[in-house]
Amino acid sequence: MSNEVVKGNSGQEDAELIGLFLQGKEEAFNRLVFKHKEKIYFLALRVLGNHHDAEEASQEAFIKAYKALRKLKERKYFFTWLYRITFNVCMTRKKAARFTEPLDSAAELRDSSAGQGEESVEKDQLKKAVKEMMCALPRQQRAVFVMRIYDEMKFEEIAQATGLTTGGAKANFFNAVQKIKKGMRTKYEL
Amino acid sequence: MNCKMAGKYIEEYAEGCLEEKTAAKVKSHLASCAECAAELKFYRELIDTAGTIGVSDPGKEFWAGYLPRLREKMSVPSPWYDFLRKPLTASVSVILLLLMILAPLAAGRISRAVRVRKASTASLEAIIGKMSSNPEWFATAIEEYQIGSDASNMSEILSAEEKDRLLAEMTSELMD
Repeated sequence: MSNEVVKGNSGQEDAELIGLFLQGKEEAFNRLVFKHKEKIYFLALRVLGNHHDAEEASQEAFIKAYKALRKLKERKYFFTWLYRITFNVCMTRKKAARFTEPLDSAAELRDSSAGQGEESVEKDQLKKAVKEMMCALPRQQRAVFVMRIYDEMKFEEIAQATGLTTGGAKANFFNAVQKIKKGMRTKYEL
Repeated sequence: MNCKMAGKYIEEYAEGCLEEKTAAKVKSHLASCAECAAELKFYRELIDTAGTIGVSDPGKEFWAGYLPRLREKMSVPSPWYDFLRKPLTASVSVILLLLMILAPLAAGRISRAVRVRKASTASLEAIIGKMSSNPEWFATAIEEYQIGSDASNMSEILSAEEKDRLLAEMTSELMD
């Protein structure tokens, strides 16, 4: 996914849609929403941990983008911009609500391969442990971890999306890994 | 490279974040150290496992209603205080608010100073009037305030400092 995540699947198409929108064609914005809603929603879901907050945050990001679309200079980087807005919304949402995500909120995180029933108990335990430790990560570290693991972004791209430096993005990721490893060893003795 | 050093670099090595020279040293260590190689394996397993943790899709119904719900939200006018959420407008608002609070206070201090000045002038006039109509009172005052009894002309014998002190004390006496 890497570059596509940050630049959008087709930056040129986004730029054209923005052009149409700025000419007064409201429908063009709907098409931008259709195109990017899932990636934006799932980023918010992985960072915030539940569907309600994920919908609220992703929609807030689209509304902010809608209001500021005229100010966007590099239209082909619309998705990078929207992704960054979503990241910021997720960060501030949690701060504003003093939201310390309990592990229960991870209940909506589901194993994508669930139902196959072929995994060993050890693997299941490992998955459970990773899931739990991921949910316990500080929000910024979790966001960086999510971008790296699920959106397969390079550290430079994560830096671009979060406003961190590349070194800061790496530090967040490796700190997250250390915390997950530590938690797994102390809690699950893995 | 020893295990302690290699342990610090294993994740960065796995993520391809190390410089070539350091990566080569880690690689060479991993080839000869089963414990560190196991640590690398554990890390890779962890990352692979994390990658398999999916999220549930909210479903077709949810996605079908996503845009209408978004449009509904967009049609609701922003609350009047919405501008306060923007850093620039929030800062300007705070500055204006402070000005609104501080300006009257500053103005009050200035007008109070003017009033005191006017009152002092009025008191001086009252003292001079009392001095000319009642020389005995002035003589008492001179004695009381230890200015000197041979004074024939107040402005000649009093220094500016003394004049101020006398004026202040007499004013307060008159006001009482």
